[in-house]
Amino acid sequence: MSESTFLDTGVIFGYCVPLDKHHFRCDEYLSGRSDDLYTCSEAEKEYQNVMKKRIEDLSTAVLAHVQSLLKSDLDDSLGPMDIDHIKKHILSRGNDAYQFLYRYYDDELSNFVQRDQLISDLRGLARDIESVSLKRKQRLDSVTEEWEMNGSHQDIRSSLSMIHQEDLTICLHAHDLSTHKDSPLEFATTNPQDFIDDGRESAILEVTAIDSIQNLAIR
Amino acid sequence: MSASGEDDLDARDYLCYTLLEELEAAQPGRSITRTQFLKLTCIADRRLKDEHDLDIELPRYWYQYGEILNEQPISNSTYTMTSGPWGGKKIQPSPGISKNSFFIPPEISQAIYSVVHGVVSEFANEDADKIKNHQYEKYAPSGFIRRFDEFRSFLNDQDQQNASLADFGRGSLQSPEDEAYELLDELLAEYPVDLYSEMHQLFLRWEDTTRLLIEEGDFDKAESLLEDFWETFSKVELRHRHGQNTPESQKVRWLNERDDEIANLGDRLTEIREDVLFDREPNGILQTVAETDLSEDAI
Repeated sequence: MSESTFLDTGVIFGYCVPLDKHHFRCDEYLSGRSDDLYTCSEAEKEYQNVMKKRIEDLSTAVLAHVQSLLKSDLDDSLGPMDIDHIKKHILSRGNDAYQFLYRYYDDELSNFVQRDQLISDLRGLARDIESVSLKRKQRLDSVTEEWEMNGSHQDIRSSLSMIHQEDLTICLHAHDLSTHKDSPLEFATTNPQDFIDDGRESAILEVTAIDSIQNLAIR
Repeated sequence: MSASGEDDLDARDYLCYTLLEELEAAQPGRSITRTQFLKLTCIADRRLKDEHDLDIELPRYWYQYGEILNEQPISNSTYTMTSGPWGGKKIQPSPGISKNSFFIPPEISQAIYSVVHGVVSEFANEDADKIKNHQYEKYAPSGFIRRFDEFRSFLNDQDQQNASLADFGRGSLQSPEDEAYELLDELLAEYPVDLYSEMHQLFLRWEDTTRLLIEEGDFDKAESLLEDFWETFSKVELRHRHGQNTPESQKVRWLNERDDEIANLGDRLTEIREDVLFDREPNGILQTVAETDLSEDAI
């Protein structure tokens, strides 16, 4: 019988969003995996209500940078000095996309580029952030089963009351699934504050039927 | 100089009443439309300020198609509104109201009559577009609003089936698509981020979504999205930033509506973007800044 993996919301987000800081580890973890993959409606709800907004915010941050370029007095043809000027004076540090836009200018645009081409490429980037996430989410959904918990598991909830309620509910779904499985179940997360740190990992493994916790967070 | 008094019918009501009386006389046999009434009162009030330095505290705010009278704080006893044969509203002075119903200092009533007479001479029998254009040209409170109206007119003028490629083929210098992109670039550059900060994020998403729809050749959907966007923009920004003499209770109600308005438009934009973007191939830049191979079918 194959092993099972239960995905916390952050892992789903990390896999779907290439610009998330946990993306590389989540992608590597899920690539080629032959386990049965599970999640739950709470994780899906959090993805739809919170994570999708973060994807849109990242995309919109790139569009805000495009707007800053249009508002500035740039020449049609941009050289290294202009790119340097954009990095220092037009790209705002307060922009959510600052880090990867800076990296883009640094790594990819050291030579000459047409202003219109740059703007068109950045628009494409903003759109790809959304479209790639959409496609990856659909791909992940097609191989993931949503598990619905039976019972409230009040005794475990009380024992793990130090974990935020929404996160704990997702963890309890994983526990519930494990009680219905004969094979080992791993809980994958990018949230060490709730599931790993300060003795939480051992507390969870002690009171639930979860067999292991995989921390995929980049600290 | 303030002219609002303790009486039930004040200078603001007198301006509304005089406008209706003058319009009725100037366009016999033609109904006074609600649009005419709501806009011309504002133009008259602005002229009262500009030409007579007289502030009668008329409540008005900028909305979807220009500046309009805020009817809520105005006594509705001076006029009656009924359904017109064209489906809109027609307005008449209320029966039993006359000049004698108002107790206003003569210098104020004379000033009001003078500006109203001028406004009616200029705009009676004119269509709503002419009044709207006058407001946009003369009173638009930001260049962005004017620029937006230009883009709206451009989209309204597009009949994608008949005009686009045919006109281009006849030798127009620019295709409608390219003209649209240029107008959108101008809108982006003109947007005053600090003034309209509440709608900035949605504006950016609306602009790019409109561009996507035009790239797909769907001018009709772009036009309908523009109407939705501007209605939300009017509710969230325009009537707050460019209004005067709005009662506190109404301001609170407007503020309470803001979050829902923003969320509803956000949902519509997300829906359209997901539809359009899902079938598009990535342009490659995301691959260069991401750390994994996005083309690989990883799972």
